Amino acid sequence: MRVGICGAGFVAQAHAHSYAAQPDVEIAVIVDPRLEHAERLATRYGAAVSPEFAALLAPDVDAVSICTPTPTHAALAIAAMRAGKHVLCEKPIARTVPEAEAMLTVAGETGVVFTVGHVARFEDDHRKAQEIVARGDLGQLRMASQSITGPFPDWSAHGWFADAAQSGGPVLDLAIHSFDYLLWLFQDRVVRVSAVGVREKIAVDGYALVSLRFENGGIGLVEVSWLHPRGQGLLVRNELVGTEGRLCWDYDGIAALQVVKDDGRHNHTMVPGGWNVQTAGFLRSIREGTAPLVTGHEALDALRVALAALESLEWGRAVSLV
Amino acid sequence: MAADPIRVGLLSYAHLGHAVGYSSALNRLDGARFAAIYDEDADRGRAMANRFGVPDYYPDAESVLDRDDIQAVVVCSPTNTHARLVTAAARAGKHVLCEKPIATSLADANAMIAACDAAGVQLHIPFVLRFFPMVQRARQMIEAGEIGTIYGMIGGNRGIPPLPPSYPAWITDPDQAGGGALMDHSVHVTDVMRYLSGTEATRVFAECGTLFRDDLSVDDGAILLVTFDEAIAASVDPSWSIPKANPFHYDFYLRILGSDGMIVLDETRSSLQVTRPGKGDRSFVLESFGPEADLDAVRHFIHCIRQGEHLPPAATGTDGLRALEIALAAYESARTGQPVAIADLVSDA
Repeated sequence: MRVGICGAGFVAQAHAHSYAAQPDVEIAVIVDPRLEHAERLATRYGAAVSPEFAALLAPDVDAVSICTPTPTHAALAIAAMRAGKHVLCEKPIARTVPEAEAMLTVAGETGVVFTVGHVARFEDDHRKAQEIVARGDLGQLRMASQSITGPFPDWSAHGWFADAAQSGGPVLDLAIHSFDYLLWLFQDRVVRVSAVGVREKIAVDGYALVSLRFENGGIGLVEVSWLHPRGQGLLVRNELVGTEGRLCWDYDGIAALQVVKDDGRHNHTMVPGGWNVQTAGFLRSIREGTAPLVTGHEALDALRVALAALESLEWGRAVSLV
Repeated sequence: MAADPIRVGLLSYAHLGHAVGYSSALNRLDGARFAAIYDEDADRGRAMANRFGVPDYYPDAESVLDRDDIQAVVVCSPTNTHARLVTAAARAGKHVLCEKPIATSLADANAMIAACDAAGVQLHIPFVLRFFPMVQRARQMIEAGEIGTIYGMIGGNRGIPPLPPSYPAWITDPDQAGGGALMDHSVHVTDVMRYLSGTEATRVFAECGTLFRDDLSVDDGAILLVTFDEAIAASVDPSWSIPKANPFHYDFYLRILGSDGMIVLDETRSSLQVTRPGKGDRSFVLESFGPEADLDAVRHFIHCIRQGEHLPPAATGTDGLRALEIALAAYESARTGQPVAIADLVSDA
């Protein structure tokens, strides 16, 4: 199988690394208008480079990873799908609901495999927790909270993260992982979203607390932040409570590897290795013609929740999704 | 020469756990004398008088309040009867330590505050978290500017559902308790948030429901989103969401994010992880070595009476009122599905 990667930034490296770890997969081309970024990545994997998107539509490319800023996802994914390429599109699926709906329509028309990079589902800790919930150990899931907090992401191209119109701030870009994960755990739809937040340094809430109400009465809370101290790194905390039991974990607690130096203790949580599992799943869906774990519809549901949270922050009202 | 001990009466053991805690505290404090008990349940009241070596049990509160030798009372009756007992205590010239929540209605809370003001007696609400050394230290750090401007606060006080026989039935009765988990637990967290940030809640949104059990007529799960001073984003988890088999039965945590850093408070860390032959299904437990909060609150209450002044960090009746406002706004929000402004709640009251 030959794959192309659109974008050569931070997340593209993770995609490239995970493709390289799969058997019988070759990275054919890496596309980025910043040729030096593309080259830096491509030389590691013996891939060609191109500044032109059309290079991904070549007949010898089977599948494409879209690793570009959110507002470009729809146009690029649609073009790739129309050219018959299977698509693994980074999260969030798109910047707007109409764009996402158009992507789903094209995916349906072309029959290619289309999935979105909600990689948290594939991480070992998140997968294990979902197994425990799904097999009923906690009874019926009734409350869940996830906290994803960290410092401002300063790795982005042109600092597009800081542009609310493009990134939607952490409520869209980062909390989308939590919204998708909680939707997946509850297997229920969200009927109401409310949020409070803090707008500092950037023209979008850099810290927010989002409440979710599910149709069957379950309650979720998501804390997300780009304003946390750098010394904390990216920290994820989780609590799931059902009618019969309770489960909780956080990244500090599951860091099996710690490195201690004069400047302090550094926790290495081994779990963000979900990329390989995500990629393997994408390729398996292509080879076997089966549905991917993360469907476009689910990605759209997560987007709706995130956009409702942004709306709630803007207008100071709870937002109904039904 | 030691000063005479402050003579204290306790009104009702309905709030059983705390009432027993305060009773032990009164007996351990040299500066206090546990002089009289009123309890609406005669068997329980007499048994407690016996247990704590209290000479006088009365089946009515007035008999305690008529005693000229008694200077203060501790009120642990069902929440919807706080106002009646506290206003009577104030008229009798007794200082009052009244269990939380202060009352089930703003009218009751206001009446209690007014009565104590008019009588010149102190009204203490045992928001005991204020006495925790970690909370005191955090307040010093915040006041010193160590974390800069506060952006957000996320906190929780969760517990096992307070069910019979370990807990009296009134605690899960909507009229007597004024609500369920949200009323029971949110007040501790919102009080600490106010205490540490020095700000007031301006808006409240809540999701609330009976989530974990199907035999309750009050809420057992909730999430509050609270805005403080129109600027600070906060959330509170007050849920009765801890299973009986859990290593801890109650917790308190609070993370405060500021422009220059973050403070993380986690009371369950003040505990030892113990595996031993269990009682029931709890063979692994977290044994707390944390502060004896009830003792600290009562010691301070006695000290304030002796000093003739309501001294920090003790919470006042007004602090109790503020926490109640947030809880009632939360219930209103849960009813309407929209945020509620505290100003609107207060003006509509």
